[in-house]
Amino acid sequence: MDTARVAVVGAGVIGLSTAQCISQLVPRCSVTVIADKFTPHTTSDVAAGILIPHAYPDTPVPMVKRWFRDTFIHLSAIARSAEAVDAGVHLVSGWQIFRSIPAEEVPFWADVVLGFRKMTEAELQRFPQHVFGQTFTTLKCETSAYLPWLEKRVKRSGGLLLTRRIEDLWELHPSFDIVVNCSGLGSQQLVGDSTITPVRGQLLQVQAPWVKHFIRDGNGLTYVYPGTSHVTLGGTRQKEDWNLSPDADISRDIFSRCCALEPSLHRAYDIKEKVGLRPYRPGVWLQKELLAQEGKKLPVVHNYGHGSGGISVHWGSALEATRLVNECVRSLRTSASTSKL
Amino acid sequence: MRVVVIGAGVIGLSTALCIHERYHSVLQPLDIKVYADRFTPLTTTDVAAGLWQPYLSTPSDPQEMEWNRQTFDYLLSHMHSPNAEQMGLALVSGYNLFREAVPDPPWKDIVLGFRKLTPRELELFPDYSYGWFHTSLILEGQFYLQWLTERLKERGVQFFQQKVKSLEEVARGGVDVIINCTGVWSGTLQPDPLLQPGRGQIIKVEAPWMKHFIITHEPGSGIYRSPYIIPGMHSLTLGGIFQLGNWSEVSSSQDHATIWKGCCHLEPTLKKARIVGEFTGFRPVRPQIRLERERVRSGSASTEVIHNYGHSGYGLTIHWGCALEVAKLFGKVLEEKKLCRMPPSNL
Repeated sequence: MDTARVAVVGAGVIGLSTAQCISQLVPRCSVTVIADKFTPHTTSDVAAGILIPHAYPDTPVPMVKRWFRDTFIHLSAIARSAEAVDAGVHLVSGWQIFRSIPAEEVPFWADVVLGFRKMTEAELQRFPQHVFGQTFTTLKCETSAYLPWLEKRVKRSGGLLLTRRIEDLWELHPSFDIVVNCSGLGSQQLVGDSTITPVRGQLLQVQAPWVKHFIRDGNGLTYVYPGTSHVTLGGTRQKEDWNLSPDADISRDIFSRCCALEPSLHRAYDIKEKVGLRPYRPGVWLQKELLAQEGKKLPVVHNYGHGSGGISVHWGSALEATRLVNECVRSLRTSASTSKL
Repeated sequence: MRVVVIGAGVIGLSTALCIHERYHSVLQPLDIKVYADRFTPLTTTDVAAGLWQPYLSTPSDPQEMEWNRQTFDYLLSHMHSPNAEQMGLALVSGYNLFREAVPDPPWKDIVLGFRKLTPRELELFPDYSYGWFHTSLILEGQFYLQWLTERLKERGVQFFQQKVKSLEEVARGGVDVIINCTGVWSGTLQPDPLLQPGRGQIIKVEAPWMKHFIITHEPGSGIYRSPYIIPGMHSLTLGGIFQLGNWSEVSSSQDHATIWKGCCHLEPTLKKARIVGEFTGFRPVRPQIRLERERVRSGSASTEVIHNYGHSGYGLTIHWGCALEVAKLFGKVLEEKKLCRMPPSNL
């Protein structure tokens, strides 16, 4: 096998970044991204893209921290480079505030973000219903710019983008040697994974350019995330809800919760409603699998189930997935040369 | 009581508002007029980036730090109102960068969350080895002057466009108190060798990804002579020019190049920013603010004048404390004229 033909299924932030990573780090391969939806119609496009990760019940914290750190370092370099504006990556500071003292006053990612510390009494005075807070500087990765930028990079590395709905991974055999499954919520149908379910998130994208800081209410349900082209106000967490149409009552409630934290938002204009379905899974599924059927073999690397942390850990999990792809390539090349003997 | 405020920048308008707020209910009628030859958007205030930040060292007049604090607290109290955006007021965090360790500034407990930069944060700015991070406020001149104008008009204050040539000319019109807020042009009303223009030039760009201010400092260079980047309500201000004694109101291409080169070197992403304007203004530089009473004679009559000018590059930073002080002096004038007894606690 001369050139390893890799198919990446899914074109959200996970699929595109994994495709880019593979192009850069796997020698002698071709990459094709296949998805039924590309930006601006992916789940990632709805996300605000702020880099604040969360723990997963079934993924060890050190692993999530490593993925987050890899992502933070990777995006920091982009933020300081000539690509920053095109990629939609920039620094943002702000506050995470709690109505009661949290069990964990210092989260596992505190030393990855910049300047993490507890809020002072004076800083907390702006939030009379909150008794504790943390302040830090992190990155925002505006997906409406980042995804198109990633697509350009994939194409520049010689990758192809193909719009096609895949119903079964075997459709990709024998045109491709390795499949990387980044289909997010699609994995429920595509590989029959019943542990992945949607957590519906509704949010508002508004114009309020004077808001320069993020505000996140402790449990993450209410948030204000200022970006380059709009401020994102959120949100909701509705388990097993597949409804992609915005609900007007929910929008009013989101707006009112956010205005309570940042009253100047009453003057926000050009309000747009959006809905995304977070691909929730108790643990991220980042594993190799060798599919076998009637004498045929198809190596698959799964990289899905990132819940609300997709953008926060995407580069770290792309690096890990690429490492697994490299292992698959090596073993294919070894068995190919063995079979020649 | 007839009051004329000369000057319609932040000092003139805020002083007018402060006096009206405090005395209109006890002084009837209280007739306040604003005379100015320039109104927003053509005042010095309109050119300022509007970041609340005093100079780095303790002012020669210790009262000034108290006025700075009063201004910050006053503005912060307005932050939690829906009016903030109309006033041109927003919270902003950011970086002060130095080439060597420096003592903490006297205002470190006034702003929010003041701390030193961590080593990883300094890696963002390879030319600098020391710095601060804190949360402050922007008060964008154009928005604020418009807001002050609306508040004053609601209160019946009248505005007149005219170039005042002398205090005597105003006094002759039968005015009880003149408040002189003529900024850098005060010398035309009364020579003041301590007052000089500190010419500044700024470039306004669209760079909505920039959420922090970045202010650099050059040892021995003096304030504002080193690149600075300050986000506003809708645009970003780039600056770094301070020329004492230069009265040229025309934007210079050499200064443009200095600002552009310095700021793009500091923040490379600015190369993609769209330029939306270029402005020049004269900071009214004085070793300390002239805030005091004076009696000006015109023939046999005399008029009370309260001077409030010479706020250098920190007019927006200190304006409300000065307005409160002028209101106090105004109260004394009233007491002397036996017009009212104002217990100090009302001020």
